[in-house]
Amino acid sequence: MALALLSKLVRVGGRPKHIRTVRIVERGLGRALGRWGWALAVLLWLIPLWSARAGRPPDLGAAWQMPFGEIPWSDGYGYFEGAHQLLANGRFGGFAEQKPMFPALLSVVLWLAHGSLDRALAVTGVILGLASFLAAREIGLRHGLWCALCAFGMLLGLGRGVAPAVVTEPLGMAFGALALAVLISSKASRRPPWFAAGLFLLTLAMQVRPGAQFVLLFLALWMPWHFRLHRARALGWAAAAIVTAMLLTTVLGRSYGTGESSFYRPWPSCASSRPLSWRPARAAPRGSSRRTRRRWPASST
Amino acid sequence: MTRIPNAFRDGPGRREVAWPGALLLAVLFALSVARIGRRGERGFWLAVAAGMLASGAFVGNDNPVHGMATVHPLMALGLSLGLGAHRTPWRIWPGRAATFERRTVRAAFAFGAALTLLALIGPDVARGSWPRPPVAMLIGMQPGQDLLIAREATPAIVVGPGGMSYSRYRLLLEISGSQMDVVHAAGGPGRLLGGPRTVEVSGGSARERPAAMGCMRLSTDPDRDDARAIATLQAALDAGVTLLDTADAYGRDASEIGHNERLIARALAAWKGDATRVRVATKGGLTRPGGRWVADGRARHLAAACAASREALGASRIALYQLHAPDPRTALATSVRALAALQRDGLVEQIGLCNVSLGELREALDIAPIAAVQVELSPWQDGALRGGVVEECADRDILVLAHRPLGGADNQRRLARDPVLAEVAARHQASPADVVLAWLRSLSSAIVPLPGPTRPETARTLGRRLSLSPEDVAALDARFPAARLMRIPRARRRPPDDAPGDVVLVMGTAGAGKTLEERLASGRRRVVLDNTYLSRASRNAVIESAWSQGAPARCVWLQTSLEDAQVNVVQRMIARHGRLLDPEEMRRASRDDPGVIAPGVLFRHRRELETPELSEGFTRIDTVPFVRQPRPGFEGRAVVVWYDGVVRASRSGARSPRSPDDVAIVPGARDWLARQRDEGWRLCGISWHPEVADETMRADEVEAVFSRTHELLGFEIEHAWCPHGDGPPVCWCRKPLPGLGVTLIERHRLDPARCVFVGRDASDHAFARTLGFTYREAAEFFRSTGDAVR
Repeated sequence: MALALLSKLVRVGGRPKHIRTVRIVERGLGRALGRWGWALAVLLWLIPLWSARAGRPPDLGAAWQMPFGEIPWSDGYGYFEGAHQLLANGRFGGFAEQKPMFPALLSVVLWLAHGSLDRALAVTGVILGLASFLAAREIGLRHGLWCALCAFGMLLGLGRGVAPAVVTEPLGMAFGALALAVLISSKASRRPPWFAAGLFLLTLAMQVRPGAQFVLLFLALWMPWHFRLHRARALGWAAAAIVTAMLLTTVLGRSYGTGESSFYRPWPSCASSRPLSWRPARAAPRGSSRRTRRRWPASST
Repeated sequence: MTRIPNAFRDGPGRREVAWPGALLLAVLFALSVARIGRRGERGFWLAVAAGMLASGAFVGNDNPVHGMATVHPLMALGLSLGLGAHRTPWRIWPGRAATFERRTVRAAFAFGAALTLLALIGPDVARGSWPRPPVAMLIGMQPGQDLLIAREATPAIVVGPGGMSYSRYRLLLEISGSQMDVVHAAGGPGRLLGGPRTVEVSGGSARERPAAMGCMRLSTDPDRDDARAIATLQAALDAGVTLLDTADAYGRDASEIGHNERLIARALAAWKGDATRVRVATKGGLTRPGGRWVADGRARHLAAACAASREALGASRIALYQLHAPDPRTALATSVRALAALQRDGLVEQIGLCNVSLGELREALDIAPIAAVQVELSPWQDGALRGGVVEECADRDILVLAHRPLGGADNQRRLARDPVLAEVAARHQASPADVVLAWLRSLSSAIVPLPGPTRPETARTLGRRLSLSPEDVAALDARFPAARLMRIPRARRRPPDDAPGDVVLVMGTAGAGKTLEERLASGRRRVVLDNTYLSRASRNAVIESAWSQGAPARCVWLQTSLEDAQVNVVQRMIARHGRLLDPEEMRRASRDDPGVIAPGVLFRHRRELETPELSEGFTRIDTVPFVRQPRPGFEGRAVVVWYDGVVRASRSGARSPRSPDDVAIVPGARDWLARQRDEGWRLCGISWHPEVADETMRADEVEAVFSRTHELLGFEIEHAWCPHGDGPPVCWCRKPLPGLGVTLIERHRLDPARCVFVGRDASDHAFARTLGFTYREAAEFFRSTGDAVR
């Protein structure tokens, strides 16, 4: 951000010679990063994993080793255990199936890595690096080098705190970054199918980890407004993309899980159709009354 | 007041991770508001602003590192940089930018699609060539036999067909695929195949072992806090806990019955996860009058307690309802039948027992199927292991809920300082508590520890599962040898019956007169152990010690009746102290003198006695009945009478005369007693005056009543009386306990067989029987006389 500000200052008040120099530097750096920035991105994404080992004591009970250290979060252990179970008996346990995308993908990566968790997690880091690189490159193409660097820095800044801690986040961020690239491009080029593809990837990102689902809804509504020349078709594309992504995640959970997951259901519809399941968590006063207390079957299921 | 938690104001840990998202949200919100005025984009920016505002409430409201912190800012970034911008000129590679962009977008979509496809169909492909361990399926095994072999054969996968649930069977078939090996029982353990993984099969039926939490301390701790308790419960649920153990009696006193259950109901109602996966096990059968724990196992109480628990939990049906503790005043069968009736009525899904012995468990199993047994089990409290309860449960596929798995507050220091635990914990970079829990789980798949965290930080660790290596297990087993019972089959632990050496275990209740040391020769490798050894657990410690040295063990069981033991205890007390001690004196003297035993101890011993069985591992059980030998010099004879209602009565109708003027002599008593005195019988009398303990009479007033009685009779009777109150027996002098009788015997060197006790009710009869007196009903003597009450 500081570099971007400096560049802007030079452009506004600098001498022509300096402005030309800045342009040359920007163009050279942009081209170099556009071609080879993926390596730097991957390297930068592996740093948090390293710092996890160097700077944070592993959680007690973390039995699985990851590159440069132990998985410092019990969730991570659950997902890796789920991936192993999936490979061994075709089902991941009740914990891992709550976010089925990650353990399912991890099982494949584990298989490709011949069971080496170190290599499997390094691959995960590579996936994340490549995805964020593609997003940054698309932003760079549309908004310039400094925006691209800022965007990448933002992604890294957001992700580095959680990537080594909760191993589902990298996958959510990877899908999100890829969606970002597709959405930005398709919006500018006014191509509804591609925009729908971006929505599809974004929905998957949300399903990996339930996030700001309201944004997803607003995006879906905005799509027919933006492509107003093809309003009906755009609306169809948006709905189809989101529903397909949700169905895919559900199928994944049903295929490999035991049907106990609560996370791969479409959250927005869940929120609108079952408000009681939201109310106690968000707004229940202490000592919830009989009116708001949910009747939960302690044993009937 | 409604409170919506979010990252803007919650704790520092949350703010640390969520602030970028919060910042971006704020920026985007401001940007959106600023652009709302633009023509043609007003609707969009209104929508974005509203979405940001609505979504902001949810940022970081969950676990601080959950998805809101990443996916949401990502969206914000995208909207602000790309979707919101009006014009997007190419900045890099002018002229070729369109090509590059097309490639970028295609790569991005292809990448995302590939990841999706890999996640969808990849696992099936990967699983096809994933190396799977071989499976040995045992055929023709007897229940329990497969369990033994499974323990021996680790780390092979062993499938026990007997009693195995269908779902587990199907799952194991899926695991095995074409690699299933069938091993017949005749082949024995030697034919089992080795493999890299272990599936424990308990009692022929493996079940998913839930992660569980004991909730008692959330309600009983002095510094409890309901908000913290709910946070703790939710943290545990987030960590993967699916079984919560509670009880209606968890609270401070009777006014808080159901407090713990209500806490759980509130926590579950406010939990955002899938509450239907969570099972709540509760209990009934204890009450809390004045904060004490008092058992009440009556059927009526259990039915009412179950209804109250369902109400407190807000559940129409309770997953597991347990009898909190056997009630000494109610037959266990009654309590178990009451639980079975609740199950039959559909009010509870499964029933369980708590704090029972093996004998009690077997008695209950004869009545109803028991799904779970809750016992105290920790490295320092291995009674349930040694007593055979855990092994029985494992063989019968009953869940063992281990409460106080870390030893409770008393053992916190021990837990932290144990060198073996510390070493294993350091190896795994875990805490000693994690090691203990993992060790308990490793004993049997039936065991589910119930740690009881009281803070969210500790509750979050409950989902962790430490994997102990064989070396760790060996080190821990050496430190806590009771584990041998679960790891090594009895047949391998037990030495041959004719092995050299002899360990004799002499068992009986306190006061059973165990002086067999003199009678049992103590030769080489021959050890005689003399203690009460009432429980299987206490006996097992001896047996295992003997076996570890290759020596067989046999049992000498002194079958002394409770009455004989009571007389022995009182005789010992009088011999050592010269008189009967009152309750306070007994309490003080028992610190230095193990021979001073209160009456309640013997009653407890009788309750706790588990009959010795050969199956415990004894080579032989010799039963020795108690025979009281005649004592030289004790040849006196006496007539002992109960005063109140037999010799005298109260004019005012009280149980005993309250003053000298209130005394009346029972018709016929004076003549009969005078006749006995004339025939050379010593006359003695006993009575009970709880009025002294109640402070409604003084001792000198009681003595005045006795003086008046003797004055009316016209002769003296040597009398003794008990001044202690009613309720559970705390002294030896209250009838039917034999204290006063033994005192008379010792004082006058009486021969019990030549003594007559005259009374009028069942307790008098019991008193005479305990002492060996001849019992005569008062009415039998006095009815024929015509004396009027004077």
